[in-house]
Amino acid sequence: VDIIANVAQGFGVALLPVNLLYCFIGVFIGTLVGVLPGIGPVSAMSLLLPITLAGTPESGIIMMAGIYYGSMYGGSTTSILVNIPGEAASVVTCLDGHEMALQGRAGPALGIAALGSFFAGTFAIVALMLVAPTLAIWAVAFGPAEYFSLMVLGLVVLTFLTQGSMAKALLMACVGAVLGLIGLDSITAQPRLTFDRLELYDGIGLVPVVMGLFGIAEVLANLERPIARKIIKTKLSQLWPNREDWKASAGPMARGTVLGFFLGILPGGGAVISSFASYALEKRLSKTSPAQASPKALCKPA
Amino acid sequence: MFVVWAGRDLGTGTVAAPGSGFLPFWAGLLMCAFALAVLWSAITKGGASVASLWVDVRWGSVVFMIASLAVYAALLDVLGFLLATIPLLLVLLRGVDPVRWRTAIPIALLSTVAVWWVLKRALLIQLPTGMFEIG
Repeated sequence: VDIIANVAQGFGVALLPVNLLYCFIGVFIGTLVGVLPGIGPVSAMSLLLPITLAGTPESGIIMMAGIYYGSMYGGSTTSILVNIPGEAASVVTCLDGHEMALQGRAGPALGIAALGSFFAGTFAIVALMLVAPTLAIWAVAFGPAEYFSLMVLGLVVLTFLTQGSMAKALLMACVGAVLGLIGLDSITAQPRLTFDRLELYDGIGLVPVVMGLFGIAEVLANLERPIARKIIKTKLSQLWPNREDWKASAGPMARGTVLGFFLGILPGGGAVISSFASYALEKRLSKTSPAQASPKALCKPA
Repeated sequence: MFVVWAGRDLGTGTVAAPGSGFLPFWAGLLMCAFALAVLWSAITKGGASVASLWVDVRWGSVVFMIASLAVYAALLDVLGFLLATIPLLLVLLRGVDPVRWRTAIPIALLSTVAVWWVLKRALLIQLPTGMFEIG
């Protein structure tokens, strides 16, 4: 009864017109900032923190949540339209989302990504409120062995995502792991693979790697063959998915929501592993080739 | 092989007490193993030759772009964001699929200043100002 009373009180505060306005402003600014590659939800929230000081604490928190969701969705927008993920969790959105955009279906792709995020996010928040006290006890017990298992899970998921040669995929996974090792050893503070360059002591961030692999690679790919240049010329219309899209997306949205919730509550897992695992699951269940762009792939939990 | 060597030099330690080089060493060995597997598969199964992948590629544009970006990366700290980015855009707009000067100059100037304004003024992100401290 306490929980229901608390939830009702929470909705009472959240649905005040002034708080809805703060939420709208947060989502709007968050989406604008999220579109910039390299500025993810956390940095967007840090940058925009001073804006929230104007209102009450509740309004501030609501606005921060809006910025978070907006910037997460902003990342999906660039993934779909220009094949450059705004942040790590949007990498999987590139795979089929951009393909849909090239087929002239950018509108439904953006719509499904937004609606999938909305449903999963809403469900996860309500479910989290109900099980938060139990989870708090569980989260404290999360130790090194569990984190190690989580990393192994990430690599296992990677093997699901591979198309073509497994050896090449695993080779690239190792290259990624080695890139992640560059910098100071977190235990002994010994510099690893830094070539005595001060810039490398802090490690190589995900953003430069993603920009290089997706952004610059896309530019070079467009340059090398003038005919193969892929520019989306269709109008951005019909954002709301049609009946077929809904039919195709409902199952993946539900599965992604549940999977994303359980992976998302694990400390350290977060949106990245959830989105990859969700895509891997749908790829396994899908009867069509992954190369055929499917709206199913966009229903990742945010 | 380089990663394996670097890992060995850092000290691999043991499984119970891994050293700083433990992960690079084993990751490097795995990379070697997978690279050999890829090589073996290429030899036995065949596939598209390296030359066929590069047919009709506009080498000049690609090399030009990479060289421009390398020069930009080197000059960014020295000249600062504004002074380095405007020439880069001008060079790219004129060098790759050339556009007219009348179009290139406004695009280079306006887009750079707009990006600078959003990052520096609106989002308060520190950008390199260079030795002339412009921007």
